[in-house]
Parts: sequence; structure tokens; C-alpha cells
Amino acid sequence: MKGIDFCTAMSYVSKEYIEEADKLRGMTVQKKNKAIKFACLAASLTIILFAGAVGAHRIYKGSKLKALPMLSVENDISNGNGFEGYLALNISELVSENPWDEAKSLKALPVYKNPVTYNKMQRPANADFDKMRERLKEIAERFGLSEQDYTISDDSPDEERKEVITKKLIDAGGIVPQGYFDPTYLIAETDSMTIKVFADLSVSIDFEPALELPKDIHCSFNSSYEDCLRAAEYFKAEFENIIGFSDPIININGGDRDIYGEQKLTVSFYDNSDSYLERILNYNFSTVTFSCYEDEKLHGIRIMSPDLTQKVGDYPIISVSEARAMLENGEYINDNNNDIKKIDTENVEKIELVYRQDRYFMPYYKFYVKSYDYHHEYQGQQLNTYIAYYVPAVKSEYLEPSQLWIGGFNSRDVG
Amino acid sequence: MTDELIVSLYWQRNEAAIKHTADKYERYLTVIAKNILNDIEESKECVNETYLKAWNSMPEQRPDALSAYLAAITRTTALDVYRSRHRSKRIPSELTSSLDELGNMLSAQGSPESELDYKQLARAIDKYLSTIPPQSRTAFIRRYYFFDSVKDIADGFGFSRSKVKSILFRTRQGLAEYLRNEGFTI
Repeated sequence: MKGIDFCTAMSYVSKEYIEEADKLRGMTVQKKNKAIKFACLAASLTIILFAGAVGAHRIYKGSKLKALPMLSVENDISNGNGFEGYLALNISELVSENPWDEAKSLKALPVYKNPVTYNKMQRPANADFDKMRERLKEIAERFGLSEQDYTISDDSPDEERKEVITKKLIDAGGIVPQGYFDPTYLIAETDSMTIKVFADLSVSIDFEPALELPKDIHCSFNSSYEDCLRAAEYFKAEFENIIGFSDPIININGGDRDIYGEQKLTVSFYDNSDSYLERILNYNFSTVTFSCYEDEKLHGIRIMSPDLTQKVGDYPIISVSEARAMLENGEYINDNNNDIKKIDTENVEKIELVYRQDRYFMPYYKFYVKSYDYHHEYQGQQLNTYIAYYVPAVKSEYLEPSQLWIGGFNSRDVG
Repeated sequence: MTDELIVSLYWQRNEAAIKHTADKYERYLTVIAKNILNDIEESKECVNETYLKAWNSMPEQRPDALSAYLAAITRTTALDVYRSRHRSKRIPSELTSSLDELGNMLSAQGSPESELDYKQLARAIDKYLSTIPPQSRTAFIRRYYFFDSVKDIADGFGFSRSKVKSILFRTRQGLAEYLRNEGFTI
């Protein structure tokens, strides 16, 4: 469900509660409490990560170029919560350890097919539960758990719950759609943690109770870069087996601010490699992220491990300058689908190469463009908005011409 | 002028009802629209539309609490405007911040398909809200119904913003668990 749907449902909540809250609006009470330094960590500190090994990747050979399948460009960046923009005092606040380096030449990059598709109910249509089960066992082993220590179940409701839901749907004049009760993830619970493995093989580990951190380690939603770095060093040592990388690189990332000026940073890791290409792939597909809340305790670890076995091929890519020219020509995608406008590349303040995960796992140049349309202030200073625009890194001759992706590029009508 | 008298003017089809409504509630309604749209001109248009919709709905409606009645109209109108500019002109606002927060408790799965679905969900939300302390309930309604800023809510309670964020976080988590247990796909 999207947030806007939830807000619509809120239109129907009891008038009694609306009026109760309304009476307090406009009132101001003298603060009794000193401000708490660390605010709550939004549950949204979702993380990325991943642990699977990334195999060797053959680099494109010119003779094979024409054999490469055409790719479709997706334009589903939106998470339903607004355009992809970042608030920051300046661009240097937006940080990451992305290993991509504009100065290092890349002729081609691998593209993978995303093996997971979703049906109309947004449930995974082809989840591989055998792979998910293996993944779960592997993660449990990292915690020293044997199969006797936990039972694997899934999120499919029990018979009693199915009856309740079925009755509810029938009472509402509907029917239970086929597959409605099919499981979407696997779960293993112990006394102290829950491990979930999802169809995309991402893993969510939640500690209950949350794990105490040493007193000199401060990790919460709004911790400083230095505190995050200290926490990362601690996690790296204490959770070496869980992270599972031979040479983990600390990736303190994020740094954008909310409209109250509070900065958010995330502690993640990816695996180092002597190979530049593998470092790029590890950064994009193989990360482990730690989640601490306002109580400065470790609540969870997230591991994302997409299945990269369905490689489509190594595709020739364009240079940054070519991508910049495409951006200037409106040949980009971003979330302002209908807002096709010319981008002034003078306002580009940062460029990264990133993989986006849609139907394909494909590389894009991500341009951070300073916008002058939005204004926020933080302690008397102007907060700038940087909007993300994506230009496919794959040469356009390998992109489906019939795709009407917005932003101008390829938006021609193909009979 | 009292709300009762203003409502009476609507029922008498006396256009002075709109003037008195504006005198008393224009700022109040503009804040609600601006929380959603963060655009003063569009917010003013929403408020003007609110007067028209109030005029057209009374009678038959005879609201007990005029402010909440008008607030509901403004809120719905502004949300419609937000949806209409969904992809073309999204401006960061208290609504978009609220959506970010709600996104943390919602999955991408399923959406209500009819008014009945929304009402069923709202009834479940009501039930959950009846089980939590009034302070948490008020903070939740202010944030996700009126889209008041965390700062304003904190000022209203005399709390720090961190404390309000914490209350909202726990309420969202509790509500999400409750709804899932009730069989909702959220």
C-alpha cells in the first residue's frame, strides 16, 4: 500500500479523534524537557547489502556486440513518496564510498536480468523457495545456529487467519484472488533474533531485544559521520562472520537532511577487490547495512543479495561526457515523469555510476542537479535540493526503441 | 460568530455564511492545505473550493464541529490536487515528509480498491487508536490527518521533536503490527 492510500483511509477515521486532536492544534506549551540529542531512527533505514560472490565477468568483445539482446529502460524510480531529491547544505554532504571513478575508463559493463517478477498483487510471482531456504540456512550458520536451533516457516497465514481474511473479502463483495495466501518470504525465529529471506534473496535480521553497544559507540539515526565511522569499525570487528567479506570496505553513506535539517547517515559495508569492475559490482549488489535506532542499540542487519546468475551480457557503455550531453538534451529519466525540461548542466554538482534494479540490473549515470525551485532553511542557512536524473550508461543502440520512457529520450511514438 | 450560527446561515442559503466562514477559518484551512501542497496560491484555491463545497453540502449536512468538517473538505481537496500533480510537480511538504515516514511501515503490496476498502481500513485504524494513550493518538492524527509538522506537534505538547518522532515511530510500528494481525495487506 502506498502512503497516499493510507492517508486516504485516514479521511474516514472517527470524527471523535479528529476533533480531539484538532482542539490541540495551534496551542503551544513551554518545553519541559531538554532536547534529546539523538532522534529516532526511522525504520526506513533500509539497507542494502549483500553477500554472494560475484563471479568473473567477461568484458565485451567487439565481435559479440551485435549478439547482445536489446534492453528495456524502466522508469519506476518512484517509491510513491515524491521525487528523488536530496536536501543538503552543499553537495559535499552527500557521501558514499562508490568506487566508480570517472577518470578510469570502462568500455563495457555487465547487465543482468532480474529473475524476480511481481504479479498484480505485487507478490513475487516466481520466488525460488529452495534458493531462499539455502540462503536462510547460510545466514543462520553465520550466527552459529544449526538447523536444530530454529524452525523455518513462511508468511502464509494459518487456516484460521485465512478464514478470517476470506470472510472479510467476501463481506466486502470481493473474492480471494488466486495466490493471495501464497508465501512471500521465509522466516526463522530464535529467542533472540528473527531472520527473514525475501524473494530477491535479500535478508533481514532483527534482534529482539536490540543489542547493546559499548558506551563509547554512538550509532543512531542522526549520528555524526565520525560516530558512524567508529560504529562501523566496531561492527566490522564484532560481526566479521556476519558481514562475511574478505576485505570489507566501510561505506558511510547518505548525508542528506530532512526538512528540519537533521542529517541521516547509514553504516554499510561492501567487499573490496583487486578488480575495479568487481568493486563496482560489489558496491552495487553486495552490501551489509547495520540499523541502529534512537536508543543507540543495534536493532537489525540488512543484507541484499540479488541473484546475478542470469547475465544478459557485457554491454558497451557511453562516456560521462556523452551522458552529460544526453542529459542536456532531455534524454534522461527521473521521477518527474511529466516534467520534461531542459537541464542546465551547469547545475550538475555530482555524477555517479550506479546500477538500478528493475526488470534488468543495468548501469546508469546518476546526475545530482542543483534545483532552484525549492527552498528550505536550516539554522539560517540555505538548504539546497539536489535532484537525481538518470541516463542509461548502456549505448542507446542497445535500448528498446519502443520504450516510451519519459524525460524526452526515446519518447517517440514507434508505430 | 459561533459555528452554530454560521451553519444556520448555510441552511438558510445566506451567502454571508461564506464570508463568516472565511473570517473565522481562512487561516486555519490555509495551513492544512499548505501542509499538503506547500504552495500558497494552490492552497488558497483549495480553501476557496472548500467554501463552495461547504455551500453545496449544507444542507443536507449539519456538522457538529464546523472546523473539523471544513478541515476534512480542505484536506480531501488538497490531496486531490497533490494526486493530480503527482509526478509533474511534487514539492516537498509536510505531506511528503509524512509519506516518507509511512513508507517505512508499508510494503508496496496491495492497495485499497474501493471506498469500502478504505472504510474498513479506517475502522481498523480507529480500533487501534482506541487502545493507545490519548497523547500518542493525538500526535498520530495531527501528523497523518492534519499533516502538522513535528515541530508544531512538539510545541503543542511541550515535548522535544525527538520525543514526538519517537511517539510517532512507536505508533506506526504498533499500528502496522495490528493491521497485519487483522489480515490487512499494508
